[in-house]
Amino acid sequence: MTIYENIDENAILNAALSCAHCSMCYQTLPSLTMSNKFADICPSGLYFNFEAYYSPGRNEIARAILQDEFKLEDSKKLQEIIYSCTTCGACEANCRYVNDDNVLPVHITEAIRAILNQKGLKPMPNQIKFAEQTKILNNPYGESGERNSWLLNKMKGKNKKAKYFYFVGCTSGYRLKNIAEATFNILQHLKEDFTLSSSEICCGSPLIRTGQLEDIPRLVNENIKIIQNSRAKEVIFSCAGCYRTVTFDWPHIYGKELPFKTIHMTEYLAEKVKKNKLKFKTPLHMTVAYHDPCHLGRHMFPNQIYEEPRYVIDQIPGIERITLDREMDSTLCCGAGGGVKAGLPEYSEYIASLRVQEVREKGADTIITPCPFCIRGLSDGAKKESIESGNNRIAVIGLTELVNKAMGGN
Amino acid sequence: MEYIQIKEKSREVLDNYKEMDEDLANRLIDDLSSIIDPKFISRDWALRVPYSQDTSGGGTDNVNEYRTPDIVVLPTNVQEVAHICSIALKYKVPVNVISTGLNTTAMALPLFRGIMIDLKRMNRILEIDKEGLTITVEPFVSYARAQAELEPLDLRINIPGAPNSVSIVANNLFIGMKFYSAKFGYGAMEIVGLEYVLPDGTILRTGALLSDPIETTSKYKQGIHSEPSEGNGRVCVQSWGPDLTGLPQQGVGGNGIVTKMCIKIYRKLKNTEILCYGFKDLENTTRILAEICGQDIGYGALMGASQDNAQAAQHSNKDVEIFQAMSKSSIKTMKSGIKMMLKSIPLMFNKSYREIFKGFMALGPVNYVFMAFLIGTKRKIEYDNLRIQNILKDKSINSEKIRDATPYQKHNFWPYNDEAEPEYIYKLVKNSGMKDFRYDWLLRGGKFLDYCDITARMMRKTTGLSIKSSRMTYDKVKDVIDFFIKKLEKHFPEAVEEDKWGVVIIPGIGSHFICLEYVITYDPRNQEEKDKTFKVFREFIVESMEKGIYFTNHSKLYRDSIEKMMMPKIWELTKEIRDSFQATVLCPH
Repeated sequence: MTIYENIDENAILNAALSCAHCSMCYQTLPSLTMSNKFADICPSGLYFNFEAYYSPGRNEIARAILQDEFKLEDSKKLQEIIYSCTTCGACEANCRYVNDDNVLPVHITEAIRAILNQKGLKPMPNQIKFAEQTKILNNPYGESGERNSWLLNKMKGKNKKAKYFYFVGCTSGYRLKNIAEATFNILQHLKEDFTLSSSEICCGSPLIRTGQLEDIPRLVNENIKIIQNSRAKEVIFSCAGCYRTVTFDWPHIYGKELPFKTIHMTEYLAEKVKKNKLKFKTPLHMTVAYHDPCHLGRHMFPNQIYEEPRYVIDQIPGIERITLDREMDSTLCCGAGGGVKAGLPEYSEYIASLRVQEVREKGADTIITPCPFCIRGLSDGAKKESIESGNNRIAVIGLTELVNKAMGGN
Repeated sequence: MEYIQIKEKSREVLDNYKEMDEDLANRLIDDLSSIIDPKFISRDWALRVPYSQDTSGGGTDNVNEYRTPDIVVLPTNVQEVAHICSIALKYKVPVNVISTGLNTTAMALPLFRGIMIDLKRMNRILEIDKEGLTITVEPFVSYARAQAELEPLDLRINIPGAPNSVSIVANNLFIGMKFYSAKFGYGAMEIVGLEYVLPDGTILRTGALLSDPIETTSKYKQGIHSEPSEGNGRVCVQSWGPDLTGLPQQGVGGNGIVTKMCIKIYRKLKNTEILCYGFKDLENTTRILAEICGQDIGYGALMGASQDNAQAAQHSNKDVEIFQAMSKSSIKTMKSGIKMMLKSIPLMFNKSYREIFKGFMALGPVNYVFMAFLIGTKRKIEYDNLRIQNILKDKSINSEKIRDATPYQKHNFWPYNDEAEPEYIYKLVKNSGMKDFRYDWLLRGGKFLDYCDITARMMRKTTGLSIKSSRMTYDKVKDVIDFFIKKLEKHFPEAVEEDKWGVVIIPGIGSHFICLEYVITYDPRNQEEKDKTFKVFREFIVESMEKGIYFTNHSKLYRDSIEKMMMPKIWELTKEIRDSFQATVLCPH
């Protein structure tokens, strides 16, 4: 699940041909199937049903495209099939269980998107729009205001050089400011030597996931310069998507090892709690379910971050954490990834609502997740699920927000 | 008939089926749309191409030939399936059917083009009958999903050797072998009722589903959110006169499309013991196996002709690296699973291979591993264990020294741990320092689900897998394996040299028959290699059938040649029956 500078069509074809069509990617692994109701793991297969929307189907389409079997323009469904994949990696995680040499279906999907883009089959209109906005305004939301200035004001002219660089990301910077604020508060509370920048720009994740690679080198190189200027040795992320993109994709584009280390807030928090540097004063009486973001879990293979966030939640007094039928490698995506939230919002909401339904049936009242994009997706899903079921809305809270609250913050 | 003739004949059949013209396709789509939601009917190539492959890796002897259906339809109930069949008959268009698509003989491929009926939307567990011990499912329900629902009720389904992502309906129709087949029978013997649609659109019900009205099915909510109802005493009834439950079996969808199946389930037994012994000689191992099954001891046994085991034995005192290198290049049969266990055990439990195999392998090379599952009350297990020990001590049956595995080794060959929870698994495996989490199934073997993942694992990248399954009596095992190896040596010597073959032996019903699965691995991207495996198997099947060995699950394309030649009378009779409901028009195989 990463992007290479030159996409080798032969390698992609070989990977597509290597799919055994064993159907292990339709549902949770047999050994991890906890119920019939919550066993599906492929969002697009679940919604659209045709084989084409499951990973083996997309692999077969990739093969047909690379072997020029059909004319692209003869299909009215091709665009929807290719861009309905949330690139959540559930199929890829299952595929690893049965393959020595990974077929890597998400690699295939991302690569085929880039290839189709070159061949003239463009992404969904809204996906094109966020690429254009990123090109002009350096963020996919089309925001023109100065980035992170509200946080910088709080720093009161603190030195720009620091041990940690907090990479805020577009979603936390523009849409879910409470995530950034909570992260900022925690870092300040712990008297951490950190900085951030108003010059930070989009990490490129939404563009890479949708195969729109043209602007990627600029985004990566400019961001690296900004981080280097801070002299930070480590970059902290509160966004799972940014963390995954910087950790996995940037080195390929930069052409060498990054001049800094990367760490996600969940890892950072777990370390602080373990070392007794972070203590929770306020009991929070909630029954919560933890939702694994794809970009912290399956995408980070072989270093999936599964234990750290759970450990942090379990240390908060008063909280009861329940286990879902689909967790960790078997998590059902929130439905927002891979450009789907922008491209196919109705389907995205449907998947999110199914995830919320699982949470409700397992007895939780709140979903905790450390990914701003999952929060956005699941919040919309919670709204839909609440209307349809007639029940109170399930709350969706960021992990840093939860920690901030438990620390006694607002 | 020679292989080449079979191939030519099949080619002729294939050439008769051209792509559908647009006018006909449009008329068909219009007619289908009168009942079925149009969004689940398509002629778009991007929606058709995915059906050009199934797990078999190809069905036309040409890996580069991808045949797509002309139209794809996703029905959601029996009435819609019946409608599709009647429309197909009206236009005389071939019909193909797919559920999970898991098979090794190209049974889900649209070789004759036409309409592809994808049963993915028929995914409901309709009923779990706790009193009558049956479960009623639609075609897209997998074993894993069914077992997940049965688990809290302390019930279990008979788990097959296939990956548990496989459809229950399909596996039973194609007489899949199960881990308890020695006691309860193979796939078809567990069916107690069917609902199916004949190719002319007639809906039939048999056995326990005989009196089930259509309304019973339609009251269930459509889609994935199904809750099985709990029945109260569905009785297994055989129909009057000729029982038509057998009609769709082995029919590749050609004799009827099953839309609902009621099968036996069992109470979960708390006490289990797995016996595991290693042997050098095949004949000796088979003799012991036959005796154990003949005396009706235990619930199942499995014997792998596994060279990996031999390597494990021979290299257990050498470096781990050497063993790993060896096992990487070795054959891919059941021992693939054992190999995986070997790889993971030292990491999980901080033990070396040397420690694991100490004692077990000390008596010399182990070529065959025999396992027996003893299940029942503690007293029954003790008694069965004693009977097995007596067989092993009887020199007229067993001429080898007994290599009993320690409980630790047994656990590793057949891991058994009911306690493991997913989180525990991930933590354990992650902390072990392994590169990935693929070994999770090792720790949840208690459900007998996990071993089946190995089968899926075998169908992997550079090792495509061809499997043929046969039935025979115990006395023929050695002869047939010898014959299989001779065939391989003749046409595909490198397969023998490079250990690209394997055999899995599973007892059938007691001592009445045994299931032998022959495995050849190949590179699915290598046309030449693939041709060779097909050639070997075709020749082997034809000549073995002449020796009285019965083979199951032939590719659609070769049924007409192989089965017609081997069983001319049955084939004619079958054709006559199928003609009566015009199946041969729609389903040419």
